[in-house]
Parts: sequence; C-alpha cells; structure tokens
Amino acid sequence: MAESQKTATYKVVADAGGGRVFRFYCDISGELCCVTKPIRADTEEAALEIAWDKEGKWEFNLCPKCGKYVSSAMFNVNAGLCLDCAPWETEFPAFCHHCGARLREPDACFCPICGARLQVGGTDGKEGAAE
Amino acid sequence: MIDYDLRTERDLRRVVLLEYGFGPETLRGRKVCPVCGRANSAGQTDCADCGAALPENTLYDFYRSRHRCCPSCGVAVTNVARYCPECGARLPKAVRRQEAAV
Repeated sequence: MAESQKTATYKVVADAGGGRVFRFYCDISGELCCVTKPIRADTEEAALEIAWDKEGKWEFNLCPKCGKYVSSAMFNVNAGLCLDCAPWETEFPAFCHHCGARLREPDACFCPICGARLQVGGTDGKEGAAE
Repeated sequence: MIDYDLRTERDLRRVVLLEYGFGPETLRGRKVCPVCGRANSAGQTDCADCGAALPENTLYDFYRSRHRCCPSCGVAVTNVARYCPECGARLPKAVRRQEAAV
C-alpha cells in the first residue's frame, strides 16, 4: 500500500469568530466533500486534526493502493479501490474481455470458453485467464 | 420519491449504486464547479453555490479521460482487456500511462 496522506486535499478559511473552517476536497476530482464547522485550536495543525477526525474523514473513501482520499463517486466499491486504480467494470458483461466470446449468463464469474476472470479489479491486475 | 424500475437484477444494482453515490450513473449526473468544487447536477449551467459557469463535461467525461476507452462504444476498460465487455469490439493494445504521457 502506498503511504496515505494524513487528510484529503483541503483549504482553510479563517472564521469571523476566531475559528478555522476546513474545506476538504476529493483527491481525484476536486469535488468539495466536506465543509467543517468553525474549529478553535491553538495551531492550524491541531485544528486540522480535529476537523479531519470529527468531520472530514467520514465523507471520504481511502484507496488502499494509492493512498488517496476520494469521494464516493470516484470510488470503485466493487474493487475497494479508487477509480484511478480500478476503473468501473460492468457487473453484467455481454462479452469476455479476454477472448471476446459472447456470454450467455450475465452474472458469470468466469468465461466458459477461455476461463478468464470476468472482473479484473484494477488497471494492472492479472487477467486470471486459463491460457 | 423516485419511482424506480426494479424488474431486473441489473436495474436493482444500478439503483443501489446511484442511491449510495457510487457508480457510472452518479458520475454521469454530476458536474464539479471549477471555482468552489461544489458538486452540481449535470443539467445545470451555473454553480448553485458560487454562480460560476460550469464546464460542459460531467464527472463521467473526466473519469473517461483518465482511462483507456473502447473506441466503439466509449466505455472505460481495464488495461488488460482485449475485447470490450459491453459491445465486444476488439480493443487496440493498451499503452502504459507513463508512456502515454511522454
């Protein structure tokens, strides 16, 4: 696993009441996922830690492969990885990605012709084909 | 309340992903404001938060731009795929991302 950052990408805005408001963004798309309540702490680092632990981290998915914090939209929940590491694969493929055979059972796990695993689960994963 | 058509397993799965904010349907229906980062629905032209003009492209277009795609139907495919799992088209050989960037 890549070493993950401590938090997602963020911006900090000083609040009129003396607190700090943190805006956390998806590491891939830049989508704003969380705006915290104003947080009072002695240093920005301390405020960030509170903001992330109490509010920020609950809105993100951590990719165990690359260590990015991403929004749900940018997370492949089937593979458990971000969409950069594992693009969406159709759950009901019509054709085998390895041999091109038309599949009769839409929810099969393996191709009946070549034996390839139909869900790869990552961009650099092995095909799992029986060659 | 949205009246979903759940007659097939495929429809049910699509709706579950959509409801929880995952999947390609979510990406197709969302645009991100380039100024404030707020997620807007794909039909909007201006950001509901800051009023900035939204791009034409949805998150799905952004996602596709980061992956190898089928030249026939346009769906994103993994680097190991030889055929498109959606339309069955033969795919051109995958180019590693580092090589493609040079």
